[in-house]
Amino acid sequence: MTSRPPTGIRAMVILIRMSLRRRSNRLRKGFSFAFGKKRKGTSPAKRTATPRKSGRRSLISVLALGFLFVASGTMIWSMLLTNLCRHISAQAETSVAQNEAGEPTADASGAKSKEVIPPWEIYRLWPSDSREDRLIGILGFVLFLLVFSTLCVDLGIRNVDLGKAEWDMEWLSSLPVSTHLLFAAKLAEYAVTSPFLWMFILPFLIAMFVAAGFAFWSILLAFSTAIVIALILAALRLLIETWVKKKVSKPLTKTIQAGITVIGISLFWGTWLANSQPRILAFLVRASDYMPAPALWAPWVAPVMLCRAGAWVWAPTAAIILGGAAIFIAAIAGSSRLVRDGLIVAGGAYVGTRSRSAKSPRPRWIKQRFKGLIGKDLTLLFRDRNILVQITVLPALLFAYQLLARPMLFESTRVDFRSASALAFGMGAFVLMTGVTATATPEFKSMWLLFTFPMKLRRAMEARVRLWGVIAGGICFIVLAIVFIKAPTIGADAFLRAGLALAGIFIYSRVAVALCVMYADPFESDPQQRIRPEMVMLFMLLAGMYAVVIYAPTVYASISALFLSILLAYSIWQAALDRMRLILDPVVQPRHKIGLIDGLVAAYIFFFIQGLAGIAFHAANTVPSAKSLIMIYSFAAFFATLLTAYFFFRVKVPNLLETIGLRSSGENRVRWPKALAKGLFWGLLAAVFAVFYLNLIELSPMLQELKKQSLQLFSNETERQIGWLALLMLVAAPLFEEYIFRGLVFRGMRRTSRPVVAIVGSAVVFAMAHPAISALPVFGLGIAAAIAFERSGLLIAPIAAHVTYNAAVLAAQMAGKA
Amino acid sequence: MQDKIIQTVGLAKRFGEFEAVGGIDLEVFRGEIFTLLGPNGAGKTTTLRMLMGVLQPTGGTARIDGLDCFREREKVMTRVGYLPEEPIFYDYLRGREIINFVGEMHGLSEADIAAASEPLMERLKLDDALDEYAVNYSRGMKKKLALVCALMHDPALLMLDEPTAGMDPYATREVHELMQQRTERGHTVLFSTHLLDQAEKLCDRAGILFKGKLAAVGQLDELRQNLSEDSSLEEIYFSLTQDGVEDNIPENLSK
Repeated sequence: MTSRPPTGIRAMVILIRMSLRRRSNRLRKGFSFAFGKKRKGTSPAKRTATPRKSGRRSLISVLALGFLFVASGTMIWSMLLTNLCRHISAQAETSVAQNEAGEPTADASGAKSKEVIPPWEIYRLWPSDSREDRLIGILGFVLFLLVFSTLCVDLGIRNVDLGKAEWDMEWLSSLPVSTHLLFAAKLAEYAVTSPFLWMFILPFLIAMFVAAGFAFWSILLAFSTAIVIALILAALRLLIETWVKKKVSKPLTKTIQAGITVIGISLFWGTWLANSQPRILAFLVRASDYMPAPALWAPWVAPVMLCRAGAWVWAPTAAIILGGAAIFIAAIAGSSRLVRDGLIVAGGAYVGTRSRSAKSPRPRWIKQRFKGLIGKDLTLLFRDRNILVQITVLPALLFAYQLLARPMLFESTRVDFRSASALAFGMGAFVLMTGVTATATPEFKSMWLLFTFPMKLRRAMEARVRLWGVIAGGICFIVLAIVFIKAPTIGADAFLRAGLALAGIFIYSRVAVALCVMYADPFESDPQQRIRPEMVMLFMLLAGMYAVVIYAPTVYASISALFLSILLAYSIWQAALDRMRLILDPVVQPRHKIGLIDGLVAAYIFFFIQGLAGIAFHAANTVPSAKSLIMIYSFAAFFATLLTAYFFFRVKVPNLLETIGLRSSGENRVRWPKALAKGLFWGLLAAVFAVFYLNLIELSPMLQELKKQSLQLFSNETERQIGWLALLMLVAAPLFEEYIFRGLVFRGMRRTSRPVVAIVGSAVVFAMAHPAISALPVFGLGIAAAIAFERSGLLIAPIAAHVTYNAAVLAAQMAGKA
Repeated sequence: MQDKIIQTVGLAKRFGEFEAVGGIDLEVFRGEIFTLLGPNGAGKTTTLRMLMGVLQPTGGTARIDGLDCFREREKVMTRVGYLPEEPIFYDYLRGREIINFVGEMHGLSEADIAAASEPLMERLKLDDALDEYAVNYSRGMKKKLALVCALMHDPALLMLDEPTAGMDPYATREVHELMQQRTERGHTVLFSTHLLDQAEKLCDRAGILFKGKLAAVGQLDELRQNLSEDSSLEEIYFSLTQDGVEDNIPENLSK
């Protein structure tokens, strides 16, 4: 009985279904069910789809994230449309005043020019008649730029396939299905997986149609045109890819890829910046005049013509559909024709030389100076043109764009060093992000080699941190140097901000490597997915938070924010170290051990709840009494304690009670009375220091002012409420605070640091959690409590210390008042 | 009583619901060639990976020279050389550069690296291709390169996962001679394979793994006891690895 291979639609359906199933397996949580029940006494149930530890992404979160992206993208593009509409209306008016820079100022409606208009109202600004033609022309140009840059990006660095020797088409072509169908299926796959298109072009289309007045139809219209554009892009990509694979040698391919990526990203970035930078918008408008009118009929640009008021709809629609179909068919036919004599790929991969050679061809300067891990990383870096372009040319482009957008950066009489430092840091962070992920991705298959070396795996991580810290730091330094040279005046503040930027790079190089390890999936076959995209988003978020450090108003605020950043980096690093040992194990998750990150989360919950309460009071326009403040404080601490304790219990932290200090551990089996005594002793020491400090306050006017500010809340308390105060300050605060700051923060740090580091670190966090006036004595308490905890191993010791301290301070203050 | 270099007690590894290795007690003595046999999916590579500290056992312990394989991996690696089944190397490094890198990471000086690697490369006929990027090597060449990397630091224990799969007959013969020379110098060799005739020629002791459990372990004579005096390893193997036989493993055979 002969079987006939599927043809036509059926074959396409099978191919597409396989591709979709691959994706859905990756997204699905949990197992598929085993067939039949387990029988007793025999071997375990048949192998089911073992869920890998990194494979659990929920479909819902992906969709939610996607929706968020599209929505925010639409908002941003709406700004462009608003500005364009205004610009055109303004230009059409002959009597427009212009400033020296040549930018049009007030439009016909006068004062309303700076008003922010929501996307669904832009249609009111939509011009009519000949001005509408101009707008359509400009929009067509923008869409053309976007599509072109997306094509470049899709073919460029992201496209790992292009430079590889193997190609999954070779495997698929062993199936009895015609080449046309294989290419069609591949094209469909490409259409779905172009992130730039769905993240940027789709929102643009939505914004455009909404602005043109299509209201709710915009979504449908945008989606359908996006699908057509997606297919066109995929078709072009397929054709170009096939041609390059067949005709172009590998080294040349890599160079072309690098060049295309640069072009694509710079075009895209320029278009994106037009949203917010008027100069770039004006430039774009002028450039669009050079686009010939017939170009508007190209199927990937034609959607803009649908926005024209009037009965023009059928012509552009026909252009889009017919043109799109023509390109689609041409690409498939073209690709099939290119491979009709076989799928042999041009050249091999990078070809070295096969000969007996005594001299090592590695660049001499690398060979002599750098050995081991850093030497290997450097050698690989210098041989990969793609990554080199990403970390040199692209940052330079970014810098050039910033200068183009804001030439005032250097020429003002007073350079804003905060912005300059932030820019320098941003560029360094960009290099970190791209460099670390790009060099990590090809490493995973060779990671087994690291396991055979007699060294701890963290050394590989440290080498990476050092290398990229220097590279990104170098770029940051160059930018800072340029700013310093061109700035007319340089003050102490400039050096501070510059120093903060550089420090940030060194901190974040650690964060980048740690996040790579945390989000790595070495077993993923698609190289693009080996480091999950969440890593990039999280890194961008965290790097954005560093802006707080650079822009902080006072030096004290900067330093404390800097310290928090260091702690954050430390906690992420700790978590990554835990994971690194098991990185090649497909199933085992490291058992959660209490680390600094748990302390930081607990502290965060603690502050967050107090912050919420503060907002509530503010909204209700009431000033909270000391009693309610202290109650909220205690509740927040209690809640943070409960939540974290429950979490630890659920994930079965090993030795939970010993780590927190509720039970004494083996080596120093101290009984609780002795621990209590130690605590009292150290608490007294800290109290003595505090009382001394209290007296010191009287002598310093600055500190007195601070004290007045923080004691304002206590000034009108009655006797009864002081009772409450005492109760909570002597019981609740010590109990929960010690759990968080000693049990979690201190112990979390102690797991991977020397005692000194952990003691001082936890004390600083503790001090920062209290008002500025009491920072110093609270720091003393933090040190004392941590020492007591370290010496005794039981939480009762620091609790006793804290109670002693609070009692002493309370007594001193009451005595002072009386 | 011979000195044990490898000792596992109840070593087990579970992937989700699937038990890849179900509690094996393996002993390998110093100076012998031990071979691990078993059908596809029996758990040979998983066992080797646990011995290399790449995987964390879900049960039991594995020790090499008394050191825990997972927790004290760095110390263990000074004494172990490993050849995986499918070695993959960094894309854009040449063979020579990879050898230098591995040597540096084991703490060897340039002279030591040259002294250790050159004779090996000549023997395995690899010296011609050293300036080629490793990603362009054929499968057999990659294995040869990995073997050189594994032997450079003169390890006391050499672990090989399917060492001669993909190698031509010359290289196969060289590898076998290498293995025998190592034991003549007092080192140990542990290798896993499908190829029963090779195993029969080379090994001192053998362990037969089936569905994650040790169906039999011992010298060939001991393994023959259950069948007949002149049964080949092939016959022993087939008799022990049929479906359903794992419930009836005789006590004295699996230890």
